[in-house]
Amino acid sequence: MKKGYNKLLQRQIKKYTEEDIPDHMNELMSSISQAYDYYERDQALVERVMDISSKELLSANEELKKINTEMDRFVYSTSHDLRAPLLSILGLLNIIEKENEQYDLKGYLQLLRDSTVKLDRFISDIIDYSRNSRLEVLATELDITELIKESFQHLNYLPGCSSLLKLVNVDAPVKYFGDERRISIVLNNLISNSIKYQKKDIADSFVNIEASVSKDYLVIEIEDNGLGIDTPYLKKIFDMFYRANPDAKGSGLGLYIVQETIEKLNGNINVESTFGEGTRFTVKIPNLLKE
Amino acid sequence: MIIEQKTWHPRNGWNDVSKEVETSKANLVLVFGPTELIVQDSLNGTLKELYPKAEIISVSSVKSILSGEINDDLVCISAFQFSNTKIQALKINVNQVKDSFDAGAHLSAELDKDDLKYLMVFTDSTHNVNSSQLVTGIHFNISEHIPITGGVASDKNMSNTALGLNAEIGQGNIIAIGFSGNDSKIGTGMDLGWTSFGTERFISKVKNSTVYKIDHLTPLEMYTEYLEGLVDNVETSAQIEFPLGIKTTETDKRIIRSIVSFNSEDGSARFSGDLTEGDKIRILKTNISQLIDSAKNATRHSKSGINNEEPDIVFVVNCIQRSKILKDWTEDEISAVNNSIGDKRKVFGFYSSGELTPFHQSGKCELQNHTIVVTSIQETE
Repeated sequence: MKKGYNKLLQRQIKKYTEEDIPDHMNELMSSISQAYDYYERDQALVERVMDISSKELLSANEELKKINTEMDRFVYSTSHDLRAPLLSILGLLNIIEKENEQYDLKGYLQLLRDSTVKLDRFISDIIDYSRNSRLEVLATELDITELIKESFQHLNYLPGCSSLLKLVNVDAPVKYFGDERRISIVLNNLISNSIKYQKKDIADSFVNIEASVSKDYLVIEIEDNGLGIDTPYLKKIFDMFYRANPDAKGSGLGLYIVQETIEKLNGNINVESTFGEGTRFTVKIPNLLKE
Repeated sequence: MIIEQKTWHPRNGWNDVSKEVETSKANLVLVFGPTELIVQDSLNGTLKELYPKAEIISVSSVKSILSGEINDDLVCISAFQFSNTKIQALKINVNQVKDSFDAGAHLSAELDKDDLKYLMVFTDSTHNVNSSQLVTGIHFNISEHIPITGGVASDKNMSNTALGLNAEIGQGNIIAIGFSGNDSKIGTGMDLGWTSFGTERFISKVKNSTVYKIDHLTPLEMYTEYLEGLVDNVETSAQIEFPLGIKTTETDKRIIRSIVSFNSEDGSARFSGDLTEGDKIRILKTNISQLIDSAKNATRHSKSGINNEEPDIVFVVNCIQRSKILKDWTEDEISAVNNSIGDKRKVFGFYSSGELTPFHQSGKCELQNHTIVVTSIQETE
């Protein structure tokens, strides 16, 4: 029998005849053999396709579950955090309405303003989070010194900003190309933490920013002598809605957004901290110069 | 309309397949055959003498169809005498203009569009011609109501294709033939004969016809995932048997793109036409029955465009890759066309490396691959 025929066909031929296939039938038999081959291959292909699709479906499902859990948590925490200052505003409005003698109106207004500012900051954080997850990375030439300066200007309203000693040292021997909006989000969040979590009992609070640009990376170190973070909490500070300090007034989104943003920029962030002595964040983000 | 059909070969000379035209009155001659033969002076000199008033169009083709039969090594010549249809033949070389879009726009601008009923286009896939951009350029000046069909020249050695008008044959040429007049009826038909499998995926990184990423995989990784172990060689098999189908918004049919080559270094794949970032794609497969049925369906669609009346001529553009799958069954595919027409003498055409066709009777013409396109032409006397 001619070798190379499909195995099943060879068996079938053997079953019905002991004789060799005559030469003039070879073309027909080759054609039938090919049909058998194609049939078997198509069966295997269908199984392969189902395997791949099933794996993809499973992994998409896992991803969706993760997103769904995050979303649940996000909605719960967000609504809670959005309502707290609103309830405080409503309470204050009630007091103002009921007070006959409006001797401390200014004090109430200040409290109203505080709650409103808090609400506004929280909403800004949510917008930053959403922008980071949706927008593409956009590379332009950046002046890091200028970005840090703008960040301090932006945060000037925070209590304790003006008294904090600010040390900035930027070493940029080559041009840096990166995503301005995202790098600003990182700087604003990390610098604002240094401002917010200063030690109240010392007069020489500082934040020291060292940035260096190479053709491959931008490395920024932001160091302060503030409250510091206790070791058990250090791992959790990048989690969504985690507040290491029970007195923290932030949204609990800040460092989560920082980490998500840096991830989007293909960079990384490290933190070192000694409780009671200070914290140092080191951020490393690729230079998009060559692209 | 009257037709005359001949074959020619340098060794065997001329052979009349059918002889009806008063040769001096023929106004259009289509010549298909291997590149090294269609460029020969002795052939082109005789054609000019035989058909002095005709526009003579020459197109490289690995296989040609004449009188419903497939010819491999012969030059196939079809001469037509249209009584009431105005024939305009235009030629442009892609290297004389900015790019393929520009070539298409120039061709359609130069064409007299009064009573234009149909445009037949022949193009080159090598020599800087990008046929997807070419058809977009042609539509720049021609309404989508005018049907456009045609194909991309083919050759055993794909870098050696040539096209020409009136013996000016060369590389990078594009030919357009306009059919105008109120007495001509045109029906176009195509049927893919391919079904999709696997997950719907997105083209995520692409530059013109080179795809770098499909979702998060390179094209080579994607094909390997599906085909490794099931075929002898993933790259060769993907090129012949598993093209991509791009989902379109206006129809359930897909635009087929075949793989020209893989780059084993970065896993990218060059396709026979452009793709766009965000295109939704699935891998396609077929079998012999589906291909033969699709030839029958394409012919049926094409006849319905002329109210199922008898066409005078039937122009077939068939992808050369289909014959690599059909092998022994190649002739049966053309027989399916012949049987649907009735008189196989009317059937002529060529094997292409890309097909130009709208999805329906009219609509935007697209570059397709692995497809059979049938155009029925009828001229009422």
